Amino acid sequence: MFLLFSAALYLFLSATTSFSSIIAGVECVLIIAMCIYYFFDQLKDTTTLLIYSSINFWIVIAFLIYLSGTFFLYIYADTMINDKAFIQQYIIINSSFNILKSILLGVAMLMKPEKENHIESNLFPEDRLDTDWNANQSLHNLN
Amino acid sequence: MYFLQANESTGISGVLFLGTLGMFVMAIGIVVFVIFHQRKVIRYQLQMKQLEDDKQQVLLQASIRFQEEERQRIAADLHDDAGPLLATARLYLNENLIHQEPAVQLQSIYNAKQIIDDAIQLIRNISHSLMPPTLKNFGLESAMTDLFQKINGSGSLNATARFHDYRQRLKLEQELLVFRILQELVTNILKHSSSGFIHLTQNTNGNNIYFRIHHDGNGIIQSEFEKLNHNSGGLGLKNIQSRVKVLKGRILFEIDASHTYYKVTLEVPKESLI
Repeated sequence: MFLLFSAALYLFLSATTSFSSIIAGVECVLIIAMCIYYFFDQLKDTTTLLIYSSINFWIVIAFLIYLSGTFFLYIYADTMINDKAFIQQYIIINSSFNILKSILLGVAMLMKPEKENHIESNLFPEDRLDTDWNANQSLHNLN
Repeated sequence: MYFLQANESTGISGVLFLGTLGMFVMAIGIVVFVIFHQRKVIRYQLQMKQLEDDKQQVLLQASIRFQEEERQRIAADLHDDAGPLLATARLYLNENLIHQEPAVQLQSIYNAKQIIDDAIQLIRNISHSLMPPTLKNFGLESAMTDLFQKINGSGSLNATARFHDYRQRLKLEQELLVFRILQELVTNILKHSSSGFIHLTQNTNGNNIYFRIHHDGNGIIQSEFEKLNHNSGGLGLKNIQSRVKVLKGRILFEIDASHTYYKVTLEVPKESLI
């Protein structure tokens, strides 16, 4: 739906501009809404452990914080692109939030993947527990 | 014009700054709220689970203790009261055997004596099955060996037991629970699996003692065990599960990779808090 919306806007409204604030703004809102939906979904799921122990959490907050911080930049970018003061602010704000996003994505990459929770039968001393049976079976096969 | 433009630019700059700050604060607020809310929910769930586990543990221990006391009482009654009474009756009949002449009376009394002999033996067997004296006097290894010898004696299948490392015995209460679990497992194998071989292995690893039963009949795997446990029937499996819980151990039903035999592994910590 978003792709169709973007295509329609480019075709029928501003064909000459390379950057569309409306599309960027809608994209930000959509992604922020999806991030909030992810948190809501995690809160509903009672089987997960602490939310910040999962890799997905860090990826989601990286994008949530970046897009929240740059939302107003994108909205004003179309009209204020020629303003030197705006460009300076844009560089500062965008760079700061980009660094923050990269740090959070780095944290996500450094985390260990979650282990599945199941009884691990390889915790039993298999070799010792199976020796007699295997010997018995060999003897039985010989007889 | 420039002044107006400068004012407009300053205004937009202010909006931009405040808007960005607001959105950032909102994002951080959402994240912090989610984290703290989830921690609160998890803490509450853990507390409830702990309460439930404690309550269940108490109920299980009470239930099992009551069962064992009852069994001990019945065993004592049968062995101490019924046995000697029947033996005395047999002595009286023996007297009549000596003093009666007619052949028919002799024959019937002789038959009665045989029946009473069988009854005495049966009561002795019941008493031993309710509370095996070998377990109390000589320990789990002897009790299991004894049980397996009786199974072998029936000739229906080949049963062997081997304890590799049982120098440090479990406490008597633990041994009793383990014996009941293994006894129930073996009974189920005899009744339902049509197997030809049963083998019991014992081993120790760290703070845990392991018992593994192999058999070559029709068994069940862990998912089937859990499903049967949830059904209304299957009291034997429920008892196994209860006893494993009291022991704070684990039980696992498996089939080997080549699908030729089934194995049941029971893990018992040495220092369970009974």
